[in-house]
Amino acid sequence: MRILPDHEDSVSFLVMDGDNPDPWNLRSALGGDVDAWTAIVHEFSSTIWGWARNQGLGREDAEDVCQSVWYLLKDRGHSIEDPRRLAGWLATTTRREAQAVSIRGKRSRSDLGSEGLDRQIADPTPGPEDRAVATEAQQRLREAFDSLKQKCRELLSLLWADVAYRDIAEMLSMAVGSIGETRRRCLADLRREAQLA
Amino acid sequence: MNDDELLAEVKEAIDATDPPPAGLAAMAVRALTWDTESESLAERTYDSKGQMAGMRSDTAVRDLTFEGSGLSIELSLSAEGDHVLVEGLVDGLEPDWSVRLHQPGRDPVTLQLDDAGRFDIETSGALADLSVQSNDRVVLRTGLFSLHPEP
Repeated sequence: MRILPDHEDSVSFLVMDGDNPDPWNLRSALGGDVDAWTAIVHEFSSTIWGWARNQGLGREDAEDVCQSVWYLLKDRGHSIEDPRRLAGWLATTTRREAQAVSIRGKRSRSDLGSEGLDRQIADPTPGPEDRAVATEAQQRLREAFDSLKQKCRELLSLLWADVAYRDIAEMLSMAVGSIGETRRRCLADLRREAQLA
Repeated sequence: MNDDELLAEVKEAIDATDPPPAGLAAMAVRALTWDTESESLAERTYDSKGQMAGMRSDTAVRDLTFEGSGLSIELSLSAEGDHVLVEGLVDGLEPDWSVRLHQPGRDPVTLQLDDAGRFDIETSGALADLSVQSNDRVVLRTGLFSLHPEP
């Protein structure tokens, strides 16, 4: 992961390695190059998972959304005009699929009554087999992150995946020029919640 | 800790406290084998998604139309609890052609059509792709579409 510098005064649209028209080798990957495809998967798999979870999905639903996103990329990736905006395409697709699942989940929960609701509520935390070792400081950061406004959580999760500013602006309905300031404010909230100096 | 460092730390904290399930990346790698046959891809000429017709709150129905290779495929998706009912009409079929439903991670299913080219099938999952086949040759495919009637 690379963290983008603050570009509050710049409206130059940030994309990775601006000179390379296809930094992820997306074209080769879609053409069947296993190494190129695997590299893209390893770069984005846990990020897509985080995006899906960030939309309030349980682990099982989030897994379904991840599957959908990868199959849609294989099926429709050829229509991505600018491969440098791959991260933005993945983020937008994840959000759309997650929202569709979320709506259907609500519908089927109301069909099922309380039984379905219990299942959803029991779902949000990873089982012991999936739990990695997190330090106390990481737990505290996590809780602080979860207490942020939804818009802040979405913005930060897009920033750490190098999503281009113009894609972030479109997804979150905000001006490109205001992203830097919002980022600063969200991180200040995070510091306060996590009681970091 | 500056803002860039904090952003990196919080990303690590998220990964550590809510790691993706084992096997998630392997599943994503398998998606590469999904057969896309882009030269036989139909054009999606109608999708009621986002239009008022699809907004009825009690009965969510989504209508889709695909066209290409002299064929048209009309689909209607409606939620049936956890499942989705797919009703369809394929126009322009030759007598020996068949229609298959493909879904990620599952074997393709050949659909039973009546004389008018109608079918219905109940399924689950998030995505589907319909293909019209002449033996093993793909005449037309819809490309993956979301099975969620909404949004």
